[in-house]
Amino acid sequence: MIAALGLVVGIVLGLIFRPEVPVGLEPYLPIAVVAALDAVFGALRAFLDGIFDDKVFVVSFVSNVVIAAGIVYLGDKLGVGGQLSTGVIVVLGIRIFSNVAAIRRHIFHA
Amino acid sequence: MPLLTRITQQSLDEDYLHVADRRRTASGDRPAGGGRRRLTAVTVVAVVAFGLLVAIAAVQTSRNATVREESRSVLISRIDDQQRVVSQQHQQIADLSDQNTAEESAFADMGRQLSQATRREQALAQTAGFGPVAGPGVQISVDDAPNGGRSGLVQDDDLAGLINGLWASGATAVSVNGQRVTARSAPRNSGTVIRINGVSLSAPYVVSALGDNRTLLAKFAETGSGRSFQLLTSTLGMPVTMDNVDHLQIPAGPVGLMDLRSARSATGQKPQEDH
Repeated sequence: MIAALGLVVGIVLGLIFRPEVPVGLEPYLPIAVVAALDAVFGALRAFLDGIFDDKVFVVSFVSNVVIAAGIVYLGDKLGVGGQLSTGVIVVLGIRIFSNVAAIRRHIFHA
Repeated sequence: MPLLTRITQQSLDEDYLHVADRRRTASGDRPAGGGRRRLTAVTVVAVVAFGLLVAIAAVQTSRNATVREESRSVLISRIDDQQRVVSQQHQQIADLSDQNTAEESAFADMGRQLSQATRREQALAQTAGFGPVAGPGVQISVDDAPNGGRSGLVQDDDLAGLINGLWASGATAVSVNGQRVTARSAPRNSGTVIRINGVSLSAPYVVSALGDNRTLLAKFAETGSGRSFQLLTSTLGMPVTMDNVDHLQIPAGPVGLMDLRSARSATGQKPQEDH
């Protein structure tokens, strides 16, 4: 409940302040969002499994975002940024899908 | 283990399982309460950060989309403008090439007219005495009588008679001592010499006449002028030689003589009086 509230507060804050993203960081924002999404769905699944731990969630959230952005940054420097971000998105996307599937099983007891 | 299966099975962070295992083994030792609440606050902060991230990404994307759409429409309008310019220029090219074709045919017409006019001018100049001519002809040389005194000198009338006789017998061009006799030339006495075209000539006078040299001299002898010339020279004792020449060069008359003295309208209108 508090977590959902926090999500809404974050979105509203972002919409109100509309912070300007530095041009240099702009390409890494979408990949960071996908990584954060993965961490959030993983946390939701762990919560429903009854094994949620706050410290693990925060660490995985921060490290997911930083590592995803870092991989894409490295790829940009090496000239394979597009391919590397595709790979990151594929892996994260598969994880998100399987996590969501597990969540669905919990909610509908199917 | 295949990559896809591995990703699917490990989709949940293994850390959650490890931490749960550790907590289960150490259950009872931990005081439940304070620690959990602190960690919940950290969770909320992370979720807020996630929401912020999502909102920022969405705002940024929509902002970029606006910019992209604007630049796209600007580009489209510029393309349209340039295409209009291009089609205008195509039209201009077509117009200009049409015009060019018309001008070229006009130029060709003009060139034909020019060559016709040039041919006509050459023919007229040869006839009128302002163009050089060459061909077969006769040469008649007449000199002052050796012992004739003043009356033995060749007079302008004598030369004029000779020239008129040659014209009458079919000569097409006549010159005296290299001076072309044009439609406006006439021999004039000037002391003991004769002037033609403003140039003083002295005896002997060599009259060159272009024409059919098989018949020219015979016809000349039959004309009135020819008979009186014959009579004159034989009476006064002037030495005369007449020769047929196959290649005779007769120069053009002086250009200074070629000015308009009288004109007549070709359309039949009454000519304007020259004041």
